[in-house]
Amino acid sequence: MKRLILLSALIALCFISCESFLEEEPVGILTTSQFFNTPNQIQTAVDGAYIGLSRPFTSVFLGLPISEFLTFSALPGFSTNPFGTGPDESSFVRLDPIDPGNGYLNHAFNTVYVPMENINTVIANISETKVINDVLKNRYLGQMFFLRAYHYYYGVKLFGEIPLKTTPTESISDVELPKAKVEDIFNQIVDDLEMAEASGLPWRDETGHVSMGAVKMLLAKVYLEMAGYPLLKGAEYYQNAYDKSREIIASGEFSLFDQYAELRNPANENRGEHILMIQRQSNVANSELHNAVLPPAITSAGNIFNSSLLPTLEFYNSYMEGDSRTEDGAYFFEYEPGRITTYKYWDELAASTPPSGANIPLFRYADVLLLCAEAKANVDGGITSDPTAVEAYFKVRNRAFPNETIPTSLAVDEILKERIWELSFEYLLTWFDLQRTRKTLDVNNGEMVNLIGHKATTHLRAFAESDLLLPMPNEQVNLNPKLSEPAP
Amino acid sequence: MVGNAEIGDFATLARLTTSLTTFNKQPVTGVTLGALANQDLSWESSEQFDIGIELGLFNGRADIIVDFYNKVNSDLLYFKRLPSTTGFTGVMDNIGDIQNRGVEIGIQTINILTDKFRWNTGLNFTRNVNEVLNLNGDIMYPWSGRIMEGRPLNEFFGFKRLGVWSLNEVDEAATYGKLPGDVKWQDTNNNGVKDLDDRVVLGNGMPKFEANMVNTFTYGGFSLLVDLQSMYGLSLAQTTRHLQQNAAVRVNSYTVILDAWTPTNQNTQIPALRTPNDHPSPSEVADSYAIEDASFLRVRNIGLTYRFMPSWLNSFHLTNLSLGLNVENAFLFTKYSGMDPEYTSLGSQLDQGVDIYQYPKPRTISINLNVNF
Repeated sequence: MKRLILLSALIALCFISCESFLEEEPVGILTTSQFFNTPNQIQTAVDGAYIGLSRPFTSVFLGLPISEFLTFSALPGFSTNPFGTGPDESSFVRLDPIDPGNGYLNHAFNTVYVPMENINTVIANISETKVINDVLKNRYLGQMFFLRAYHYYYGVKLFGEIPLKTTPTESISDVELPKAKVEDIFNQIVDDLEMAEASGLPWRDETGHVSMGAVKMLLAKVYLEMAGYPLLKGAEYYQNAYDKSREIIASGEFSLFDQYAELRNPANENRGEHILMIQRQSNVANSELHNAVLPPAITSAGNIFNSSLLPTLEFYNSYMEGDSRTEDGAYFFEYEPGRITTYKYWDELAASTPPSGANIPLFRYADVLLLCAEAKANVDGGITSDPTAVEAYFKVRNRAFPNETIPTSLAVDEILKERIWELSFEYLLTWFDLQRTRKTLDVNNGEMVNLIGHKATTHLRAFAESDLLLPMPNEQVNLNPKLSEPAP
Repeated sequence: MVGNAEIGDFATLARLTTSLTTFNKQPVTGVTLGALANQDLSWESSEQFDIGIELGLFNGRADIIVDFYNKVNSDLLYFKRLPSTTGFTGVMDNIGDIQNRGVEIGIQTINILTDKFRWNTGLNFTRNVNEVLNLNGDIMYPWSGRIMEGRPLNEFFGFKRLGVWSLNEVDEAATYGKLPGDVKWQDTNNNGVKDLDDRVVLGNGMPKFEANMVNTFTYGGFSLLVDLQSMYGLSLAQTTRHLQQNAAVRVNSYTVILDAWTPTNQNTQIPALRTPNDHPSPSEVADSYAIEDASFLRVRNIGLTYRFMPSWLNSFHLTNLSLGLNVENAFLFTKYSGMDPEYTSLGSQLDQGVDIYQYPKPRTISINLNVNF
């Protein structure tokens, strides 16, 4: 019992002040001015810049399944958190107006800028270096440009206008940065990705570093974002997204796995359908996702905080009859009659020997195929019969419905639906789609409907425009009052 | 130049942190930034002015010492929090100047002195007033507090909890996005939303004064010592209770939660208990409900000793024999709801007054026998 008290206390504590409790003073005395002098030092700094990728998936407290990933994933309203680790999480499940004091906001804000500082520092320090050859230098820089674009992409999608900073912090005066306009942030992202495209990265990198495939995929995603809300750049950017995704398809480097279970096969990590993954290993950098998606322990007090991301039955039932993704062991698992859990992060190995060392999928090829189809359908005015687009869509669709035949044409809504079903509960993919299209799936009739005014089954009220972006965290506004003003 | 012993090494240098990460299941060393450089960091300095009076009165029966001091710490070293757009949570910096003024009074008296009976009293009284003189135009918000020019240090600052929205206030609650049963915070700036400008000063972690009194009574071989300690006018953040009042499913809680809002118990500070997916909106840790008056009076020590008469001891070849009973931490009088209002601080220098799982002081009863041959 005492342990339980302590546990609850620790958890509650974490909503208050995780940041300060988790701060660690470095004990080493490596200093930046003495660094970046050897090829090995440069390599460790490049690898260190990847550490930030795992922040949204890392438990904010002691391995408990409470993370940005699990919490924000409740926003579309397709999942629930039956035991509710606390009000900060429940606000997202219920779609309360998110209080600016909510601890996740500050965590997410830091997830943009703490890794960014590492990235900017590496870029600034290796741009001029002579200790490595230009080929290697350009590849390192390409990875850093990608990472900077990636973090700004998540930042601008979650918060909208945020400060834009591409150089390391050199002084502690003038640290109150103004916000930048959404368009300027997207332009910076595109600039970085174009530089990454020209950096000579290989199409694939089975060590798990950023590859050309990941660069072009993010660029395609960003073009699609810019075509939709809020920038509404329309046809030109849909065409850009289509062209970029076709480059990835035409490379022939990527393919879908035949079986859904192959997505979770350790032998397939950084290969096949996986374009970018967060690298995990059970000893030095384990993953908590396996635990987080364990079914709720109804009778045991043991796993009280599991199933933080439990699909609603309504969402599960929105998949069409015969969809292979709903079979046990594909994307879902029926752990009790009528009770469904998500199975995408199930790690067979961790079930017997925890903790889980399974990589966390970030980008996969199915997303590229669907965005290719969606972009083209939009270019063509809402419906397309372009063979590349239809085939791309059908590769994903056919895996779910092996007996279907290829359609002759495709409407945008069909593709959007397929994206929701195919990419469900992958980090913010669905939420970002909802934001940029302002459409969502009505789970009651399986139709795409307008997001604004639609009430999801887990929510207390309908979506309003004000729900599309998270508020600036109180803590940061305190430290930088300019965050309460719109971009100049 | 006095420096500050609480500052870690290498604070002026930009530091790197080495950690173990992985690529393709191979352990790999990754280096990330650890701390930001502050090359302008300089010594903290202090100036102190003291004036004291020492008085002996009534043939040495009363000694009075009064000390006034005025101390100004300049270029105070502190972990200044920075916007995270810098990539760091903060940096050691010379943040400004702080003044501490106060008085210390010590009085030793012999109240009664006869052949058989003697009563001594020792009284100490200290009052300290601090003020932030200069903060380079900044306002700092340490956890649950605010540091600002012209204000005392260690001030609690946050939202004021008025109670819980009642069934009669459905419409008004709705304008804040709340339901009856949710916490009702003061809308200080009256703009219809809960925002940072609604925060008010909620108390101070430093006492208005501290006083200690030791009385010693001696009668023949008996002596009795009573040691009293008090602090007045301080507040504590009762974080322990806040944590233990968690309404999450399947966790234990303090019984105060039984006073939660219900339609028949609307006059309460504790919001309605809801199922997880129908939960009250986020809690404010350091809201006024968590900040409590922690004034206290403690009977720190009661000691009773009997010293046997030397004439009687001689026949046993003893030079000294005494028997005593001592009760440490005998009584505590306070309205504070936590275990012990005599706090230790949560973090460093300026985060005083946060009670989080404070270990209570034990009451120790000891019996002493002292024999000298």
